[in-house]
Amino acid sequence: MSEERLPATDPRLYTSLTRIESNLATRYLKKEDYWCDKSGDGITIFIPNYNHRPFLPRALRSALDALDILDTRGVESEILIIDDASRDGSQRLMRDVHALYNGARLRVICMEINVGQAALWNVAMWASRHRYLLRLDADNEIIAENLPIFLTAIENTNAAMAYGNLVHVEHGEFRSLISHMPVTYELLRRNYIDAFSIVDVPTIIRLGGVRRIHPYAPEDWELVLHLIAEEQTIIFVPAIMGYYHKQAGSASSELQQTTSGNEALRRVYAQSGLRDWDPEMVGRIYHPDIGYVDEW
Amino acid sequence: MINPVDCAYKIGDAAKYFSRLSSARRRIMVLAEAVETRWFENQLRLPVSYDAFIDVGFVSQEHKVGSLDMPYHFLFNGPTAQEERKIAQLEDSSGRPIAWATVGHQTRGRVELAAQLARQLHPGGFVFLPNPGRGVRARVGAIGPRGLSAMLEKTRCYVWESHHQYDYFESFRFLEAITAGCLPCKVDPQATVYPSEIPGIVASISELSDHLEEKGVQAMRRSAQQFYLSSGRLAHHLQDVLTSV
Repeated sequence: MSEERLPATDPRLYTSLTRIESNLATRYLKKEDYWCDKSGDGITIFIPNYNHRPFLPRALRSALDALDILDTRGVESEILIIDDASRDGSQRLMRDVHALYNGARLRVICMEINVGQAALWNVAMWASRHRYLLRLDADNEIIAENLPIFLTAIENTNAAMAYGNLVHVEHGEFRSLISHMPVTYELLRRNYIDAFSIVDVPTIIRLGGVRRIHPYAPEDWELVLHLIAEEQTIIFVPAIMGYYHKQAGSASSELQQTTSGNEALRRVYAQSGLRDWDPEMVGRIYHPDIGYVDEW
Repeated sequence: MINPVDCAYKIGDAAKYFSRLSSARRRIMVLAEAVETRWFENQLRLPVSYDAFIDVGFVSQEHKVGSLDMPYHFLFNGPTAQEERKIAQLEDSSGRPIAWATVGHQTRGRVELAAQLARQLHPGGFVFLPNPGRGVRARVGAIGPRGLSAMLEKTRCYVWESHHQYDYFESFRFLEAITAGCLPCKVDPQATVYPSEIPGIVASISELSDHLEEKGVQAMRRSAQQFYLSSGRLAHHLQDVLTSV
């Protein structure tokens, strides 16, 4: 008897259902369960993890190196790994890591249910002990020596967000740069600023945190557009922040191929078609050794 | 007329611009780009004719330019008197905070260049590689001439790679670096095809790294400076060219 061949199901449907579930899950997350006093002037390196067990050691190694660099400069810092109910055994690795580096230097939080990227980012901001938070996805790497450049940039400018060049690495080859330009109107068409960035935690929390407004609309893109709408300064620092390792079939790759999420974002931030925000007010190029280097 | 395509773009009313240009008694086109590129070809497709073409740079392209319906003249891009004075006042740059900088629109080669510079020379370089068409035009988030100059004055080594495959030395990049007290350095795997007297052309980042270790950035910069100052002033070269046009 021949096996019946079922029609292929659109994988985005599953992604959509997962995201809806995640958004429902965020209702059960209570700020007070995670809240930490943010008296530190330093930085928390937040590593979100979901089924990235093979890559986590690489991200963690770069984060630990960054902490060493910050230590030599007298900057307080910590690593915060939050696992989003992985199914690949990531928790076992995280237990080992926690045992090795337990203390103020590294903390681990394991979610019982999958809550999604936006909710995880909010939990990280609640749980951060410092004013600034760097999001380092579990498959990426930060260039440890360069973190002080970005931290100084956001401190000097009082910006809500600072980001810099990410070298997109695929199959061991340097393919392109992303997060490589200041905020421009092009952001209404496509997102070129990755979540791998530093944010000013009190500002983001005050503005309502990170939201996923549509199953296919990436939360990092929404955050940037929201900060622009709130006329917050976003700083592009012309240095290399780290390496963006792109995995085939990643969630971000799927999202980039969809249009409905992009349309949803445009409906919120550019519905009238009018460009009623001025990139000159929010998107600046700044380097701590030079100052502002952009011209308008 | 310097770079007529860009002039037409910036003025906006191309028809009016070309009409005015055509009514001039004499027209000379001045360019500083590789003659094999389509950007150069585009300059020749404009609805206007010229009495001469002046190619500004460090190396003559007369043998590569092919058949033109106007005479070719090479103008060495030497320093002006003001630039000479500025260069004379420059101090030791070896203690500058930024190890290297690379600026230009993004190409795969330039991404590789920036990544290798970060790995082999120093991680903390200055990198601005926006998408093509951005970075130089107004209101799209750009580093303008003042910003570039401010950056180079804090930088030890200005490194670039062409956005095309032709062997062409970008003399204005050299000029931007040297007048800011920064070491100019072009990376081209075909480094040996350039005249040996032009300093700072290397085949790879590892070659640049070796040179810096062996000679030091200050000595290399002085050598580049000496080459430039001993090549004659722009005004003198221009005078010679204009007498033959």
